[in-house]
Amino acid sequence: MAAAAKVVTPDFEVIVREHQSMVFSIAYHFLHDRPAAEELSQDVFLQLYKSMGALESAEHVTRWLRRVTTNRCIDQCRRSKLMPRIGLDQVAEPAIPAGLPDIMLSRALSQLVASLPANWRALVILKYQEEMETEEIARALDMPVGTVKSQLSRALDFLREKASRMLRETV
Amino acid sequence: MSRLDDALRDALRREAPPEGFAERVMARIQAAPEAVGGWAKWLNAFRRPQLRWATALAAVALAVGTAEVRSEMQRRAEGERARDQVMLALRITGGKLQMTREMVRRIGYARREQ
Amino acid sequence: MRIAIVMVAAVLSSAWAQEIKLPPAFDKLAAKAQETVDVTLDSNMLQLAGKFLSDKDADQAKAKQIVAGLKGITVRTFEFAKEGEYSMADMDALREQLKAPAWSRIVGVTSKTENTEIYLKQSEGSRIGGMVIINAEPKELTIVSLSGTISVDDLSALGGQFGIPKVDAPKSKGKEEE
Repeated sequence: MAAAAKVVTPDFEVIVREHQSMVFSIAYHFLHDRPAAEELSQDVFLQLYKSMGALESAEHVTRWLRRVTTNRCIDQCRRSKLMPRIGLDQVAEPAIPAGLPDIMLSRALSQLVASLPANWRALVILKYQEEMETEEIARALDMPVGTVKSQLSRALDFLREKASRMLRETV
Repeated sequence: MSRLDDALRDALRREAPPEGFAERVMARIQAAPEAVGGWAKWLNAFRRPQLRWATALAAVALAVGTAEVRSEMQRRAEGERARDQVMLALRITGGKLQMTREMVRRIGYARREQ
Repeated sequence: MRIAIVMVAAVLSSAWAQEIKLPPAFDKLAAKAQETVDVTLDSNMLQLAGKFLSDKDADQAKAKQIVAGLKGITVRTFEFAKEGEYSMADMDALREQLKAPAWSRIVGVTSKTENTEIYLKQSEGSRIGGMVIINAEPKELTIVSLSGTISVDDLSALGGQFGIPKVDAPKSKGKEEE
């Protein structure tokens, strides 16, 4: 005799409200464009709605959302890959004097992160916005742990160099 | 913990989406009937009390149906991802062919100019 | 800029050749790259993708037509932070496979900044049984492998569609395209 069906009646709007900041923030920090981030975030939740039957728990939903949002952001960057874009060595330091107020520093760093290559951007956002461990990030992005560590290290070296004047750190 | 780590945590803290975001998501779901797949239709129907009893009685049969619906949802997600990957692959291929064709044309033009 | 072109006539051959396999060296390149595109689709995934390509969108409709004849698509793009992260020798194992009789190198374009080779696998009539593109730039390496049946018209469409702006060459003085 077959087992009884798993009866789950999540209120989908509750799920949206619970996770909207996470999804929107990943998209916004990636794309640095609020309308584009909202559109992408809406698409993610629409996809979640269609996929709810395949998800087993609240934790599974969170992992799924992080993974799908990040992958969609990376795909969106790659779709525009044939458009002219500047190389890493051409990324200018934001023209902001040293010792600036924290809010300006935050904005400047946020801009720098949004100028990183797509993979590096994803790693930095998942580590610092979502406070994920390296192994979690590797699983979310389907990358070897070693690759996550080395690419994250290079991304942070790059950010440190570009932001050194703002942070008054020795490079 | 370096100052960069603190600064990045601060710069990348979560932000609230624009006002009304959740409402707009729900409006999109309601407006797109094709988005309401078998599983979601069943969930919406379950909110009506009179259907809960009928659902309980049909629980054994539903176990088999649910598995099939889940499989269909997964297949759809897989198919859409495969479609996106095909488009990406063909764009990259087309871009490289176009660049090569342009190089050959430029060379031909340069030679004719000589 | 010194530019050399090598054009090699296609060689008809009915010899069967195995599908192209990417060498293990490419896994090491992925670890060094700051950005990687990795697409591998076999015939099952292509069939599935075909069902989700819309006839109402011009690009997707064309893609559906192309994909209908394909058995596999493989794309690897590696973008590196600096030059010198890979060598042409990394592609030797791939080129060895392309020396099989069924394959012909039909384009080889070399400049200071870029090196592109295109190989085609002969099939029946005017159809192509496979295509490999190797495009090497100082900080970017792209390998594309399409296996299956592609028509010459489809190949031409690939170079002028899919959201890529057509780049117009300077008008020649009455001579046809090389």
